[in-house]
Amino acid sequence: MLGLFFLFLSFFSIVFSQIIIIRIFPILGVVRTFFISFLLNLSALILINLVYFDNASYVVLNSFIFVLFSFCYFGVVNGGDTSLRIRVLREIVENKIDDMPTLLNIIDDKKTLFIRLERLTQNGQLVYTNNEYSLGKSRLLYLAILFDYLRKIFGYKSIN
Amino acid sequence: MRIVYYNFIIIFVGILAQILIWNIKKPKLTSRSIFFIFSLCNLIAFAFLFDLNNMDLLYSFIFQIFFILSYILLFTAIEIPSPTFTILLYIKEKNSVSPEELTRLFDKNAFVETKINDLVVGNLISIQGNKIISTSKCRNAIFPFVFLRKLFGIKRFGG
Repeated sequence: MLGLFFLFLSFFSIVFSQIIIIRIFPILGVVRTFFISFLLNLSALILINLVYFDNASYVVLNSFIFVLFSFCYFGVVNGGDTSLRIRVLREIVENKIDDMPTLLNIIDDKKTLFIRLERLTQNGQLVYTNNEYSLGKSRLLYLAILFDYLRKIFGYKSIN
Repeated sequence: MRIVYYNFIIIFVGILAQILIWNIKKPKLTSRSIFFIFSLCNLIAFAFLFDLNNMDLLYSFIFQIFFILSYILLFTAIEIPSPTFTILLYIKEKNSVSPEELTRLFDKNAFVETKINDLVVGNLISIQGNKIISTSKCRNAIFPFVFLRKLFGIKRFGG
């Protein structure tokens, strides 16, 4: 049961360590501080598990569970920055927007487009020259191609 | 490593079952349907096929719960196209695009309306005429996002 205790401790630890890192170095931002605390905690968990468990399968499973938890946690952490659904919910709950025309006036596709274009240009995924956008780094593009392919497998239409 | 293989076999079978069902008819409540498919696969596997001790079962249960949650989170991004991915794939197709051309692509408010519709289907909000009514589920859903950002000391929200 000590193995499970370490696992649940690592769940708290990734959240707690990210809070400390981002409070000390706010310039690093949410995504970078997440990956730093993820790598720190995963390494610590694997080391502790290697000492504690004789059975390798528990070390592997514990590590996988931690990765899965971190993925869910990242969804929540990053959702505040990137999710349109969370933005809509926040406008309704926190800013008390209760009619559609006002909501669509605050959040519309064009505003979303410019927020995304700015973010993509800032992190180098897009390059803006001569009044035109072209592709920069390929990391997110590969992910977009993969998701488009997965959509087809599940019987959805291609994105474009 | 038996327990690891067993868990990955369940995941593999669950995904195959989902692909099959989705290609026949897509359910309205995606998250619940995914949860049901994987829970059923787990139940059949651990009750009738795999013989594991209590500790293995406990670890498998935790692993499967976190897998299903992660998978649902991932699948929402597959199911509803993200504006970011749409922009990237469009620019890949055309090589370079002017802001005006991209604005035309985003002219119909399709993304925002799809997300709002998704929130209605998920019973997070209801819409009567032009009026938006938030449910208690809506307030609970937003809480972890707001709370974490307060802990981080970040006021800005994107979208």
